[in-house]
Amino acid sequence: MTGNINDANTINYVYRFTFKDGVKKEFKISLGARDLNYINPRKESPYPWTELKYHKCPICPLDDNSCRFCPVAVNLADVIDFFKTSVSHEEIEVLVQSDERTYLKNAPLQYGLSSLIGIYMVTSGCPIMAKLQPMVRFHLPFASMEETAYRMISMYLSAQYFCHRKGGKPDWDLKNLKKIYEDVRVVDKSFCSRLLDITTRDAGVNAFVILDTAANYINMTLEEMLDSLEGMFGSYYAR
Amino acid sequence: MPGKKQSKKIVIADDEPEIIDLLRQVITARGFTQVRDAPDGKKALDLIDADVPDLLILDMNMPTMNGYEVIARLKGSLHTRDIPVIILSGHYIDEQRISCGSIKNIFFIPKPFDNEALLTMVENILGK
Repeated sequence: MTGNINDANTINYVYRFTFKDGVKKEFKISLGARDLNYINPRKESPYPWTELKYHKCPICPLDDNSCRFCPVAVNLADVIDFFKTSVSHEEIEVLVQSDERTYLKNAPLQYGLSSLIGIYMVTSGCPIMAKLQPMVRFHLPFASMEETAYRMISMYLSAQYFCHRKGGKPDWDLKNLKKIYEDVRVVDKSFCSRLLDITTRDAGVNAFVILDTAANYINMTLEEMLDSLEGMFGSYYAR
Repeated sequence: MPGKKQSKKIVIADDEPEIIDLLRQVITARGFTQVRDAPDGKKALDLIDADVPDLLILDMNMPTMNGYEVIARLKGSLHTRDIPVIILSGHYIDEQRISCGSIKNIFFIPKPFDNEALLTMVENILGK
């Protein structure tokens, strides 16, 4: 069962992990359709590693006094706890059900896990990760680097258009996009530090490594990727 | 005549294709063009046996054959025991399993890695 799967007020994802020994584990995520925020987010947790001050991201704007828990960590706690003894390269079946379609892939655990973690990262209320939140509306599990880059550039340019429409100063040259991904990398690294203390195997940490790798790759190759995309749009600037 | 960097041979062993792509991008952008890669330890050893590299960049937790086994194999051969190894790992490594003293030049960089830190280490090992 997938809960609110046809409810227009929510966007829903179900991740089902099936291990070789038949063990299954399911995670359901519901987001507000308009604001893309995680519905019914947790505000507290029994795990000390979910506290904001625990390996706090050096660029985190949240105040430890008014916000005791890291909003991402507190919502990821159950996921991390379940996989804390899992090996990253264990081959599993991952089924992802969205409101529109179902994805199925046999892959190393870390791929499915990084895809799931990516949703929590951008929808839980982290002000750094929120810059990527619009991408979750068209979440694409197991995306290639090229697909991720296209979604990211499309999202960022849409953001500039809306900024322009509201009288703001748009960044048509994508100058600030690299800064966003530099900040995302800081968050990814800080989470790895958190998880190193509480996981005995590498699945959780490596899921963050995969997310960081994508951010690192996009930052390194942004100009090249734009060049490679340019040829697709010839009909828009043909004289 | 190839430059000094172009003459240096590097093997990357990692089960993550995206990490291999990224490492290739980072390393070749700095002028090291002879880069080969393998998705597990066994295939990495095949590459090394075919043509001994000047540097091995090694993930530790891989299927089929992990990094510890690769290091043990390298250590056991006169031809490969001195190959410098940069261990790239997201999790803690068991130093006792690799600090037997028979392999010189073992270095460690944590994942997620900083591109400049990695390049500095590569250049310190292979020369600028």
